Amino acid sequence: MVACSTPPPLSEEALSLALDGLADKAIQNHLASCPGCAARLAEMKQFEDALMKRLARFDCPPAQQLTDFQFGMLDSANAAAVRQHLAICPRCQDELALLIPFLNEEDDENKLLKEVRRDDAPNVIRPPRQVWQASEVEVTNALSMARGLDDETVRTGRAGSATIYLEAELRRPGAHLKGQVVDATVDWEGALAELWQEGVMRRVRVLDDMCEFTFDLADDSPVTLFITALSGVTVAIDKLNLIQ
Amino acid sequence: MYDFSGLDLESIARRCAEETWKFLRQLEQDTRYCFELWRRALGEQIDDALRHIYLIYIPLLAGRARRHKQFAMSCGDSDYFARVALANFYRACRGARFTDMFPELAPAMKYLNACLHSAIVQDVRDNPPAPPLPEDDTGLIAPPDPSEHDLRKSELWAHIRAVLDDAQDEALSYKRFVLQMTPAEIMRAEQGLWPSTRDISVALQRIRRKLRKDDTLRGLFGL
Repeated sequence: MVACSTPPPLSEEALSLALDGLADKAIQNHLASCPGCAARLAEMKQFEDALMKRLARFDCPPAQQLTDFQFGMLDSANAAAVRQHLAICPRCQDELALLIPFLNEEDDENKLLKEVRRDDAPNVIRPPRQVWQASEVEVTNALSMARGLDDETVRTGRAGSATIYLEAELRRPGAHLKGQVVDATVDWEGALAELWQEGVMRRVRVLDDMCEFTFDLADDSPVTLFITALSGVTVAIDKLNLIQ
Repeated sequence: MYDFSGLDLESIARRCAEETWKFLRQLEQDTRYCFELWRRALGEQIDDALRHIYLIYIPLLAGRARRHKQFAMSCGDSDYFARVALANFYRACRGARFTDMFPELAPAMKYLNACLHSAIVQDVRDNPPAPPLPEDDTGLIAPPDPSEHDLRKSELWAHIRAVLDDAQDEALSYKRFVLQMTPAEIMRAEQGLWPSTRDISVALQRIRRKLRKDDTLRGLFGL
């Protein structure tokens, strides 16, 4: 560690004030001119940042659970836990405080119209933009649906922590597409799968408890799939050609 | 209650779109068609009804998302939040629960908008202001880090509590390190408890020294 170049070195108390953004002019001047004390502050900050990153709101209920609490949709045990947490957590209190005015804005339809008109035409939705883009995608037509643990599993696509298995069966006309998302990290049950063809959203399905979905397609033009998990993660499988 | 059983899905969806158009123009509207469309999409879980719900409501939700106070602080786009809200709404209200929970459209829409709020505040929570991303970051969402699992975090917190071994230090550490409150925020939240923010910082300095001396924490954070 470099020694203080303008002794005496800053006390830990002074460095703590600097860390909290409360340093006075004398402390700031010392830090600006002394590499030794600046290095001590940097080390403290590194420790502080690492600690805060690890612990950030680790025990706060998910925002959706706070909402469900507000709507009386939690069972008594979960409601009691959320109530207890709310009593000590100003962050969650603040989030909940934002909910009521947001819901009450419902009556202000002028604003809503203005917003919806801004760049959305009725019945036009845009594809998701923040996605895990799947790679290595190929469609099998052997109807050997992968089940994750099956030895005969054929990996057909990877995106983030998710593996997506797909199989297509061509029919005349159209096609039948089956899929499954397997992921040890993100829960895909209840995710919404959108199927797009030629830039238009054609179908929506909800992933079942096996994280599977099926689509019957009117034609076999290339498809793009977007699958949005409840946690917000979206997987995209782009321009999948069903005819291999 | 009006009997919609004779009306096909396409007719219901068309009427819902028309009534939504009236809603947006503040004209008198009949909400029963949209409610029936929702009932078929979620109550009966008819996929084509869900597609119509998507087409009508994703733009509406996206517009509303942009008016949320925390939208500007979020990392998501408005369509993304609309999708997450719809997915969570579907999870909570599918099947018989839909008609059990909602006798008409208004309360269902209230809860749907609340799901939208949740999606936005969760995103803001998950993406606090941070140092700039490395140049080679493409902006794609990174998979969650397994080492950041909740259990590990709660174990870390339990260790910190043991190191501090003091209820007051623990309470202050919780506010600073878990809730990420600044001394000024802590002082506001605990009116009368602290004479000044400087006193809070001094108390934190004591805590920081204890924690930095702990070998486990030093090892964990590579010091």
